[in-house]
Amino acid sequence: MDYQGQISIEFMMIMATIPMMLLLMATFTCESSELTLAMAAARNGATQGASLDSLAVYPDQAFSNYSQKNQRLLLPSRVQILGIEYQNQGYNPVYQKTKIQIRAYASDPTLKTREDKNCMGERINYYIRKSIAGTFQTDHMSNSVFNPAFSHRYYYTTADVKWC
Amino acid sequence: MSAEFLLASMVFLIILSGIIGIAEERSKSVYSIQESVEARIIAEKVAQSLEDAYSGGNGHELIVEMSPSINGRDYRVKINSSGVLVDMGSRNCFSTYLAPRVTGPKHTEKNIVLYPSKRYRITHQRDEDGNHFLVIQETI
Repeated sequence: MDYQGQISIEFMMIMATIPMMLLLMATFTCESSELTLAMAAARNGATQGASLDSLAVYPDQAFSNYSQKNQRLLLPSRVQILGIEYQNQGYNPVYQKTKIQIRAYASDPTLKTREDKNCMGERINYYIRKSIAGTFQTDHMSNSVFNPAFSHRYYYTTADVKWC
Repeated sequence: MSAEFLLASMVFLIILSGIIGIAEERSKSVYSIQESVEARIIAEKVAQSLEDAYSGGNGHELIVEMSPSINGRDYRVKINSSGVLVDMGSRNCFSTYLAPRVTGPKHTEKNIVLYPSKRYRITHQRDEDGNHFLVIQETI
């Protein structure tokens, strides 16, 4: 009897199951890796925003606004990012993506007024969104303030920074 | 090549592309922060020099040397009664000083501009009425 060229049924089943499992795992990995990367980008952006806020170096328009209304912000401060968290707000059929809302927690004992904190918070949020758009190279899909920012499966908005 | 290897490579490439994106953004962020730090240092240095010259009393003088660029970018330092402004074209940085009046070599200038790579002499002077003021002029 010639046994050459024959494989067992078990081997065939294993060979059929493994690629399916791998395909499923790859899909989950891609999804979670995308969100992980987005959060890493958000942390990076928040740190950049906090550093630039602390150094009080601003673009022309912001500088001009602060010169008139928030002169305290023209001088250096001590903005610290305490944490960043996100909330999955579900699928949005308009964008055909899942909405993620990011909230940063920050502190700065030198900032006293609510208005100053709001201005600093807006800048931190701007850099968070910018960093996400830059990381996923989706700048062209967003407006000038990157609101919302996009990745492949998600889109990101930012809630007001919570000052502690 | 096995299907597993292809899938593993695909996942690896997806993760790698994300990491490259993050690294690129972080590099841009560091560059931007470095530029801001340099601008802040220049603003504080000029403001500190003005205060040092003022606190030194009548006749005190010092030299301030301007950096050739801010992280490779051109810039101007504008001084007026409200403070010291470092203008990098698209971004600005501001610092204040405690001195009553700052002027130029003609003693009438209200806005003084300092340029990169130049040296400036800051002199504390007093007029006939006893008012103290600082004079900034380019030097060699």
